[in-house]
Amino acid sequence: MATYSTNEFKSGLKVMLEGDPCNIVENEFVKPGKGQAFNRVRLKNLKTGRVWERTFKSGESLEGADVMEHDMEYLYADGQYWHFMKTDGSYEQLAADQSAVEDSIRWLKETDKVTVTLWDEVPIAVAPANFVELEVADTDPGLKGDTAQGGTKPATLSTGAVVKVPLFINIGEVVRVDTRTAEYQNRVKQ
Amino acid sequence: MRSIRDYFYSEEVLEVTTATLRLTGSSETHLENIEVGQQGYLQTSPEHAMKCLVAEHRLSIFQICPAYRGGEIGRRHRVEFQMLEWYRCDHSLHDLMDDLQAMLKYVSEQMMEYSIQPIGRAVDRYSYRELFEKHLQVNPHSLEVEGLKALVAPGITAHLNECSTLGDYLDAVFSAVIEPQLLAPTIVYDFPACQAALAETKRLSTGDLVSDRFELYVGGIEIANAYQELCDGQELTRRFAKNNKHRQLNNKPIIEDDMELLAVIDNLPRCAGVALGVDRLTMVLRGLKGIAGV
Repeated sequence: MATYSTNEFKSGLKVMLEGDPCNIVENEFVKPGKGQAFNRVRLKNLKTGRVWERTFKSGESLEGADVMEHDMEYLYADGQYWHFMKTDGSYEQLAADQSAVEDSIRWLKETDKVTVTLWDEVPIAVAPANFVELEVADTDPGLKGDTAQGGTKPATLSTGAVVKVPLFINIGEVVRVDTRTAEYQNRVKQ
Repeated sequence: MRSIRDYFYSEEVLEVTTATLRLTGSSETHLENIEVGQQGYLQTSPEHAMKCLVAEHRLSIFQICPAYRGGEIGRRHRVEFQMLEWYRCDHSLHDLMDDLQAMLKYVSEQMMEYSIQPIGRAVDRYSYRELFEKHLQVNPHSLEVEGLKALVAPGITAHLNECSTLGDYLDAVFSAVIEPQLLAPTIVYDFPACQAALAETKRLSTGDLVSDRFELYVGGIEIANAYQELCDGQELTRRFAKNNKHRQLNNKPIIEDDMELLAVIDNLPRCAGVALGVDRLTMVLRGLKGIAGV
């Protein structure tokens, strides 16, 4: 794998840091007064999702990471692995383990489209679409006369996620949710 | 640019032009000189050339010219940039602060239509020690490398190593912790003696040995750098040697002493000089995020 020096760092570049693949979020060249120059780099650890801020001596280099992102369709879970299929026409299937799907598990519905991050051909992260439509599995009964400006109540969705919904939402209805914030967007008419 | 010139003409400071291609480069450890074949070096600043003029003619002068620093590319850095440098004879550093402030006020008023941050009011002035005491509760002049390292997260000094000097560590801490706080126009004076470059050093009544220089910060970045100019040839020779020793440790090419400057420096009258990044000033006055938009 190629190595990249600090002056080739740009956002989106995938590199290895402390054994984990990282995505460079931001890279800034800093030169204090007449002092030694360095690069202040923000990297997102693709395995844990955590963002690191690191300082590199200008000219230092990091190994590139073999990281690919694929659009895939979620198929099913067998209790141990979660299975996905490529949507590029190859119908190739991949199995991801618990650690890869952990953050998105509560949004995964069969046949939904997701983005799977592969590192050395192994899935390390699964990102759901920004918006998903899911059925309400359980919530307190809706109250007549309540309008959109009323309060909210918790609702459990078919995938297990719990989101706050307006009082007029009933069991069996489908709602649209922003997976980045876990916020209710609107009701979806079937 | 026009308003900068207007200000200096109204102050009867003479505009000069010096060669940007010099026989010797800068010996500053962390500046990368750009060499032009066998012809010499592109200047990293017009400092030496202008000092020769001041020594010969004993006049206050200014110049707006390009300066070149290899390898410096970033949001706030460009290899070639515009530098405004001026020298005031018979000025103390204190007089120069007033001068700089008056210039900024004049220029920002002329640029009112672009300016979202006019620099009309008095500029805050703090000593280097005051800022360290305010943000880190320590006296920077009594610290060594280990003490500085302990003040901040390890990441902040991770790019430094055993070849780095106390000055490098001070710079790293200052730029990570204090600089981003200096949003309002602020002059910082009395830098540590090890960061004197070509400025005089002096001992304060508190006993701290400091260099007689100041820097101007606006929007959390350095805009200008000023010295009470060193005019002692022996001391200059020592500083060149120290820089080169440090360059050697860092595997950087040795730069020959600038004999032209050494030949005249003892004739340099008492004067104060300042260099200001014109692109950066324009950037902060217009509220831009990077110098690419200037």
